[in-house]
Amino acid sequence: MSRRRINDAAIAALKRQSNFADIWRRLKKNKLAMVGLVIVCILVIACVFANLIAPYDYAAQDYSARLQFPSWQHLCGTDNFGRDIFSRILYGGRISLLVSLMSCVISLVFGGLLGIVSGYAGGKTDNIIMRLCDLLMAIPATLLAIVISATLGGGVFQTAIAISIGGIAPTARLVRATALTIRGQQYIEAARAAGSSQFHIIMTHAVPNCLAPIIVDMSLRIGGNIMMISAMSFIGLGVQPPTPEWGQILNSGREFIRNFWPLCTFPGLAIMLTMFGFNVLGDGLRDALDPKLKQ
Amino acid sequence: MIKFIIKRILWMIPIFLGVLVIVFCLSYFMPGDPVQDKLGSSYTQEDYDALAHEMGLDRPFLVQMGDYIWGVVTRFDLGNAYSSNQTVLQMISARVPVSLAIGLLGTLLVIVLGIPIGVFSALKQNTVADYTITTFSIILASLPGFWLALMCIIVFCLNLRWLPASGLGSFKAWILPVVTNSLMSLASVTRMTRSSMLEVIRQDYIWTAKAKGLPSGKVIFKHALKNSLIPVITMVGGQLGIIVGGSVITETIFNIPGMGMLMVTAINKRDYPLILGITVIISIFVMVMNLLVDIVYSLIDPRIKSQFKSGKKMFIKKNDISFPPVKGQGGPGSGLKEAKEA
Repeated sequence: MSRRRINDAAIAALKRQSNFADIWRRLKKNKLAMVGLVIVCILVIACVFANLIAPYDYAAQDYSARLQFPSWQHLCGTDNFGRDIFSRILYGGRISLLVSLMSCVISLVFGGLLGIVSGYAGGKTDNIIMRLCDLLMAIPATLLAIVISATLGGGVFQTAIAISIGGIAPTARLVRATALTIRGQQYIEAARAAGSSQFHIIMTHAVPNCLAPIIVDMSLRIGGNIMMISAMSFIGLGVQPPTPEWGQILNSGREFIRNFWPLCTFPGLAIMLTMFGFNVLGDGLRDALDPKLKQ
Repeated sequence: MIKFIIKRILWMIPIFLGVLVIVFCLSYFMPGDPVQDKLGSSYTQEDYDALAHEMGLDRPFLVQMGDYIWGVVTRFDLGNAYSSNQTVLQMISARVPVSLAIGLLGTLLVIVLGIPIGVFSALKQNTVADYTITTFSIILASLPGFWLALMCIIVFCLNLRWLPASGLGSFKAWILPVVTNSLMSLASVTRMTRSSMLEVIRQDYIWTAKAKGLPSGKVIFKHALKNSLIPVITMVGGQLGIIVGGSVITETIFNIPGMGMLMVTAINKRDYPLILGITVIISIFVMVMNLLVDIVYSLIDPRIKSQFKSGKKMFIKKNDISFPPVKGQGGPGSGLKEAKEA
């Protein structure tokens, strides 16, 4: 009887362990990660509903109110065309988040595909794909993005592609490494011995276990990409005006840096906050997905 | 050891050729017509054809690429710049020392400051000092270098007037570009060192060393540090590219006549040979630095040498990340051990 109860407890514990609720419970304990999650949520909501929240139109020019310092009327001041900086940052966030997410997805799709093929096929295929990744990683990611962006020209989609190329090789390596470790695990062997089909094994055992490092990597990558997008539009590549973008607003503020600080300060603050949110959330997720790491 | 280094160097050759191919293809498909740019608005078709012929742009794509690669490999000839009468190599070589100095100084700063601070933070875990360092490094790790540079200009150059805002005239002028360019990497390396050190000092062999009665300094420096540095060195290698890539933007902000600024000018002027040349030079720089990192790596971690000797793996897979959740217990779907204990 008591043995039965222990078994039940073990099964219940197992179920709980494999549940996302457990990950959420661990994530909730991590205060810093929660701060990150809140920041990310607020940002996403603010940017998605920018048209409702923004007090002004991002393109509305008011020449009577140029280069105004922050006030209750203009929370972050106005730029050299009299446009409300706060509204421009909100709308700019849309572009930054969208491009970042898009480039992450592109990196994930291509990198993931290459990584899985590499990890499962092994041998020559693996070798060729990994050497190609070495090649792509020999050029610094920022530089590669700059050159590709110069080739493709400005625009939202072009920028997303330019940034995603640099992310393909690291993602492929990550997915391959994960696939390799999973391939040798006993639970995969057990499932195979139990007669599960290859597809079933991949879907129910391999993919969920692969997901953890990928989720962490993606959440860190989104933050990094946002910085890269801003860096590129900062030097005049990437998303082109009149579309507002954080790096671009920063760049336009450089001209007035001597007398007017808000134009250089607030967009950067937005970039920093976003990166901070995603970085901290990513770290928290890593800890939550891997209780062993927790000290 | 020497065999390892030689093989590692030989491996750089195909990588280098591959980089040349990629970058050449990219610059070939860049928009705009350099011949037209050079001729201006009024020209005849004959002029156009003559100039295109002279610049070698009327040849097929593969011939152009082959010629370029052959030139680079045999004579290190990066071609002639479109926007000036100099060769690309001449234009770049004047700029290399500055960029190199900023990159190397930044890397040095990361190693010299990042690692000791990380170790210190780990040894003082859960003290005020540790919390301060951890908080600062988390914030700094998400601080984009170019924004930090602008903020520093506002504070230190325009308001306090301590440091010059542009150029590299004096020693003081170097501080901001180097620091702002590498602070993000510094913070990441500090965090990495801390967590790696924390992991190592919990290992059994550290307890053994302590139990043997070794002084704690010896335990830390002889046993813990060496092992905790392995992931850190991998990370420093990765940060190199970030520092070098970031210098493109830092140089534009501080008006530093380095390769980064040349790159931005080249892009604006559509000077393809110059863009190509700069990318090639920076890639060589990063490759050489990565080679050095790998050598240091194999010096610190004897396992890599022995791995190489056994002939199982030709190269270190230093970027292969094995993620703990899938390796052992824990993580979704593998809580068996914990369930048993429960």
